[in-house]
Amino acid sequence: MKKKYLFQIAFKNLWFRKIRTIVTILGVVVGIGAIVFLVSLGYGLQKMTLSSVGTMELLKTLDIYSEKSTIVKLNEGAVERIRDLGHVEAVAPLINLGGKIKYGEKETEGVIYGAEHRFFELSEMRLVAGSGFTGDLGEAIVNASTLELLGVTNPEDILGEMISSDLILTKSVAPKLKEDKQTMKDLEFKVVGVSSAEETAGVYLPFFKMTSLGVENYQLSKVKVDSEDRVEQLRIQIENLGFRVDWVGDTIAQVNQVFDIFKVILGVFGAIALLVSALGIFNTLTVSLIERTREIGIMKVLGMGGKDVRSLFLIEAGLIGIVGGIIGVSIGYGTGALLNYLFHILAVRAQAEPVSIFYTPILFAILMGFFALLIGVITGIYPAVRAKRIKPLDALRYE
Amino acid sequence: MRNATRKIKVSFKPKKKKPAVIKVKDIRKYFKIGRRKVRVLRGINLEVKEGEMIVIFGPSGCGKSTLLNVLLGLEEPTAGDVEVLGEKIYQLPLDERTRFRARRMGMVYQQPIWIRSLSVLENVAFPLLNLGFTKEGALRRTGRILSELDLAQLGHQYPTTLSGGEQQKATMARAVVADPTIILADEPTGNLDTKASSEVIKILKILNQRLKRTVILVTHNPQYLHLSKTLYYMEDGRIFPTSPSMISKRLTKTVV
Repeated sequence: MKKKYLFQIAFKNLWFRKIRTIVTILGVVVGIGAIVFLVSLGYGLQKMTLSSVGTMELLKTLDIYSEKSTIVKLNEGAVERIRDLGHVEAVAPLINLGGKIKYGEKETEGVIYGAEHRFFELSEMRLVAGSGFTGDLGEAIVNASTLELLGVTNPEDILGEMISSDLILTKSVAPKLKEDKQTMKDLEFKVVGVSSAEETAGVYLPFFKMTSLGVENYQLSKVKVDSEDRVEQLRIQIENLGFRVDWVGDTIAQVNQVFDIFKVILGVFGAIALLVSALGIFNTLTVSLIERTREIGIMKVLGMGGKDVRSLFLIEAGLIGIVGGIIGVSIGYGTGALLNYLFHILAVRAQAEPVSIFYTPILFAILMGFFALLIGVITGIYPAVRAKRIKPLDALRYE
Repeated sequence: MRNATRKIKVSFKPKKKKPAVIKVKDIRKYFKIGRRKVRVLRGINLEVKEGEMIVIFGPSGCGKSTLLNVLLGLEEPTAGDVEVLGEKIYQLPLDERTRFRARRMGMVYQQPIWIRSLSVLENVAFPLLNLGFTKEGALRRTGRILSELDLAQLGHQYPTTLSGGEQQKATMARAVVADPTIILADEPTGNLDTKASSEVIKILKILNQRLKRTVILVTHNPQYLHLSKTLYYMEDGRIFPTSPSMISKRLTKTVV
C-alpha cells in the first residue's frame, strides 16, 4: 500500500479513539514541555550571567595586576614593555587611592581613581549622565553609588557642580614621597559625568592629574589585544614579565561549565517526565494492538502485507510522538516566554533592569521535536513488530 | 495469467467444458493440541469449476472452516496439494500469497470484521489499496460496486453503526471489489434473521449467476441445500458428493 494511505489510515485510527489518543499525546506534551521549559531556564540563566560578565569585545581584553610580593611594579615602564610585545591595540592603566569625596555639606569615604577615557572604553563602562573627560585636568566623573551618599537623587543635577576630594598618597603608589603617607586636601574638580553604580563610592580623576601629584605605580592596566587568537600568547608573555593576568574568558568558561551541568540536571528532571510519557505511548499502542487483533487479521486477509501492518503501527506511534513534540515544544517555549513577559512588567514597575530568564535556542527546539518523534517510533517498535508477526487466522479467531 | 491457466486446464481435462479453478488433492490437516493429534481434514479431494456454485454442508466442527482457510492460503495443510487458478499457492512466498488472495479470492465470514475507524466505503475499498490502486480509483470502483449491490446509501456510514444484515451485505461488496474469480462464504447468514439472510443469499446468487463468479458456500443450514446442483457433505474431516434428499435422510436418522 502507498505510504500516504498508510498515513491516512493511521490518522483515522488515532482520531477514532480520540480520548485515548489525546491523553497519550498529553503525556508526551508534558514530558517534552517539561524538558523544554527547564532547559530553557538553564539557557536563559546562562545567557543572563554571560551578558553580565561581558561582551565579545571584552574577550580581547586582559587585566594586568602587579603581584603584591614581587618587586616588579606596574608603572609607566611596564606599560611601555607590554606595548612593545606587539599585537597590543591599547593599554589603559588605572590608579587607585583611598580618600574622601565632598559635595557641599556632605562627604563620604571612597576610592579615588585615576583613569583615561580609554579605560572607560576598554572596560565598557557606561556613563549614566554627562559626556566624560574633555582633557582638562580639573574634571571628575563620579559613580552613581557616590551620588546616593552625597544626597543627590537625579544624576543630571550634579553635572557641572564642583566637588572636592582628599587623597591619601602612600609610598607604595608614589615612591618619591618623603613620608610614608601624605594626605592632599581639598582638591577641587568639576563633575563632567556620572558612571553606573559600583560596590563602593568612587570618583574618577584624569590619569595625568594623578601622575602630576607623584603617583607612579598603578593598580591595574587593561590591555586590548588586536585579535582573540593572540590572547593566550600575549597572556603568557605578560605573565613572564612578572604580572598577574586575569581574563574574562576564564570566567566565561567556568560559567559555561557550571551551566552545562545545570542544564543536564534540569534535562534529567524533564527526561523522567518523558520516560513516563514513553510508557504511556507504549501502553496505548499495546492496548490498541490487542483491541485490534481481529482488525489486523482481516487487513492481512484482505491483502495487506506484514510490512505495511508494521508501518501502520509505527506511523501511529510516530504521529503521537511528533504531535506531542510540537505541542510540547510550543508549550514549554510559550510558558517561558509568558514568564519572561511577566518579569519584564515587574521589572519595569520596580524600575529595575528587565531580564529574560528563559531562552530557547531554535536548534534545541527543533531537536526536541525530532526527539519526541524518535521516542514515539522507538516505543512503537515492539507493538509494530508484534502486529507484523501475528498470523491472520490466529487474529481472526481472537476473541 | 488467468487465460494461460485456463488453457493449461483445458489441455489437462479435454472432456470438461469449464476448467477447474480449485483443485484440491488429498489434503490432510492435523493440529497438535498438547499431546493429542487432532485430525481436522483427513484426505479431502475437491474440484471446483469456473462459474460454479457449490455448497458444502456439514455439522459444526466437521472441518469446513479449516478447509476454507486452506483454500484461502491462510492455513497450510499438513499434506496434499492445493491449486488455485493453476497456482500452487503454498509454494508462493507469504507476501505473494497474500497478494494472490487479495486479487483472486473474496471472503465472507459469519461475523463481519471491520477496520472500525474507516467508513464502509473506505473499508470496501481497502483491498484495492493493497493492490496498488490510487485512493480515487479505488473509491470510484467501490462506489460502483456498492450501487450495483444496492448499498450506495451505506457508503459514508461507519460499519459498526449498521445492522447485522447491512454489515454482511457490505462485507460481500468488500469480497468482490477486487473483481476476484472465487468467492468463499463461511456461514454468511449464521448471525442473521430470515429477511437479512435471504437478502444475503440473493446477493450470492447475483454474484454467481449474473456476474459469473465461482462461489463456495459453507453452511450448516439445510435451507440452502437447494442453492446448487453441486452439493457436498462434510463430516469428521472427510467430504462426499451428495444430494439434498440424501442429507435429509441422514438428518432424520441423526435426530432419531
